[in-house]
Amino acid sequence: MSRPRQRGLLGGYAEEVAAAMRRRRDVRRPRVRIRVAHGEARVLDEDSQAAGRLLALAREMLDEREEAPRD
Amino acid sequence: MIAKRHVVGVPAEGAILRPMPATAHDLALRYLLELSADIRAALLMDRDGALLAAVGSLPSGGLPERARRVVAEVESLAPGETVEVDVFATRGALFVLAEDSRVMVCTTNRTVNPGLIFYDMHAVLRDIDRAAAAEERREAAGTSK
Repeated sequence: MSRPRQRGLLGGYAEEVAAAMRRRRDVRRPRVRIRVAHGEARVLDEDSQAAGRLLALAREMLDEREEAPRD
Repeated sequence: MIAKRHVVGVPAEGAILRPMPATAHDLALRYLLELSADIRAALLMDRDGALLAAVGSLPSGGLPERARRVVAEVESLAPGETVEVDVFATRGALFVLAEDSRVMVCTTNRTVNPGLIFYDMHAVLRDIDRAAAAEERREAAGTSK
């Protein structure tokens, strides 16, 4: 009698874990967001040329950065 | 005598004297780094892409060229407008604020609140504008005497 209920519980936990991992992956995905003249912010399409160039610039300025202590 | 502005972090070309003391722009960027422990480096440019000041941990070479490219990208998105851009990459984030005649860039880690970073950047840009206006008033008062 309890087996279907147990399976349901385990399925629920698995779904929660999968959703948490999906959210974590989405949060960590590179993105470019722009807000013009104090309007609504919009995320640039990650395939767009502008987003690609800005992301490449950001990577240049971040990844080449030395892990030196702040001034 | 007109003194050439020294940009912190950028080697002065052909310098034969000691570097100039920090400018008001350098001091403003240093203050920005003090305001937020998350900000690792900051740059200030004019709307034409000329680098005015840079502080913090930044790539050693090609900084003026990168600064020009950042300004060109922002200008291509919205010419002359107030623009906020945040770019979250794998290892950190880049924030760009273009307002009036200046463009400010910050690098941070990934776990920051963009709203707070832009708040600090706006505050420092306002301070720079206020200081520039005060300087103009002082110069005007000096020449009128």
